[in-house]
Parts: sequence; structure tokens; C-alpha cells
Amino acid sequence: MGLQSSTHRRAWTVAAASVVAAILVSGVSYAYWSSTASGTATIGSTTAQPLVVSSIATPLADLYPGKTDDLGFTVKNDNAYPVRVTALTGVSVASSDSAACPVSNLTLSSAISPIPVGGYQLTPVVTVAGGGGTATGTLPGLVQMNTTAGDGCQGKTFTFTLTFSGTQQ
Amino acid sequence: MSPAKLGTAAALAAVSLAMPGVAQASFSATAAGTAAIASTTLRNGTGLAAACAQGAVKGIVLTWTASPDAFVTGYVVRRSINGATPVVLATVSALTYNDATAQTAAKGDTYSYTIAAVVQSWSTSPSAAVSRSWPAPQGKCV
Repeated sequence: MGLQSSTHRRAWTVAAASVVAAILVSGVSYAYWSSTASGTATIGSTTAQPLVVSSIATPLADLYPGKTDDLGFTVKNDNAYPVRVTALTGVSVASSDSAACPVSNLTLSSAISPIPVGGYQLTPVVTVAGGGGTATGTLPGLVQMNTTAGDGCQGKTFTFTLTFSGTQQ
Repeated sequence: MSPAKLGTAAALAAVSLAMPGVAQASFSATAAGTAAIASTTLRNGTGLAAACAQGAVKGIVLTWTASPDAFVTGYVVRRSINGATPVVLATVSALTYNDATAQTAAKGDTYSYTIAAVVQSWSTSPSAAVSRSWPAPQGKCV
């Protein structure tokens, strides 16, 4: 009996050590996901997947000198749980023809660029269902083409690299 | 910490894992990627026509149909005389233009016209040219 008890305690010790190790590994794997992640969460669940932002199905193609456009985006969530995307935390833009139409021909909304402390709060918040769910959001009035933009800016594509933050719902 | 207490801690951890919804509530999430906007390609007016003016109006009267781009603010009218380099006559917002100076055309002259839609600093390429001439010996616009 005493041997059995000792063996049982050793088994618990091994189990405890394994869980602690798993927590530490989990903390590393979630480092990208969140700097505030708690080490006690989701052990034994699948690895968290970063949400993916892409263009909406039919992006606007109507920018011209003096015109201001919204930017629509789609967020895909491959995690098992829903996520609320609440704030834009980073934005940059590139032109499909930086020689004929550099991005200096564009002006980003002063509400968004530079990004406010704590991020630009999305209204409404974008809630994305888990399991590969998608949802769309809009950055209203994000970009204006300057009135001085030349003919080289006709028919060009401007790609915005966006970073958002949010919370699990 | 004794092995027994570690065992208790492990048991508690196992319980918390059984309630992932509670644990996940403290997580934040990030999302990243790209989205795009494109600029349009300006479209010109169509159906440019040149008519020899009759009656009170003299010269050449140009007419055309508006660009499908509602934001177009005007049209640049250019004229070439006898194949010379085109020159800008005017920029107009209307869909017609009267080249009154054409009434002074000489016998044998040919006047050719184009239009180009504009908005701010953008412009389309000139349209296909339309022409009128004053063939000798009569020198009447045809």
C-alpha cells in the first residue's frame, strides 16, 4: 500500500510537471496572439490561429482626384471561438505603380493616421464567428486622392496593410 | 512544495481546463492582412460630331454625349488646322462648343476637332477626330 501511495504521488508529480510545462509552452505559442495571454487558458485545445484580413469581395474601384473612399475589409477566423475585432492598430499603404502614382498622391484620414493611442476604435465592432467564419467591416473615409494626382494615378490599386486587435467573445 | 500539494494543483488545473470558455475570456486577439482600393480610369464623352453652322450661328458647332463618369467636370476641345499640331480652344462644361473662328477658314482648309474629358488634374486621351473642310473653288463648309 505504501509503495502504491508513493507511486501515486510520483504520478501526480509527473502530471503536475507536465501541466506546468504545457502552460509554459502554451504561453510561448500565444505570444504572437496576445501579450496579455494568461498561461492557464486553452491547454489541450488547438493552437490559436491569427485572424486573417483580406479585401471584400468587390472592393471599390472608384477613386479619383478629390474623391474620398471607405475601405472595406473581410476578417476570417479559423479558431473555434468567436472573436470581436474592436480596433485598428496599424495601417500602411502601397501603390501598384509607385513610379507613376506614388502613395504621396493619397491622404489618409486624420482620424486614423496616425493611429490614436489605443488604436482606432471600430464602430461597429466586427464580430467574427469561429470555425472559419468571416465578417466584413469598414474604415469610413479612410483615403482621399489628392486633387493634384496626375493621369498616372488612373486605374491603379492601393493595397492597405492592416492590423487589428480584439477579444475573444 | 510537497508532491501531494503539486497533485492538488494539477487537479485544479485539470478542472480549469474543463471550462475553456471561462479561461478564453481573458484573451485578446490580433488580425492582420491587406485590403485594397482602386482608382477608376476616366472615360471620355462619345459621339463627337461637327456641323457647319447655318443661319445666325457661324463657324463649326461641335456636339457630343457626356462621359458615363458623372464626376467629369469638363471637356477640353482641341482643333487642328490642315493636320498641324492640335491646340486647345477651350475647356467647357457643356456638351457643345461653337468654333466661331471657323467662319474665317480659307478655301481648301480642313479643321479637325477632338474632345477629352477632365476632372481635376486628370484627363482622358483625345477622342477620335471629326473634321469639316472648305474645299475650293466654292469654299463652302462641308
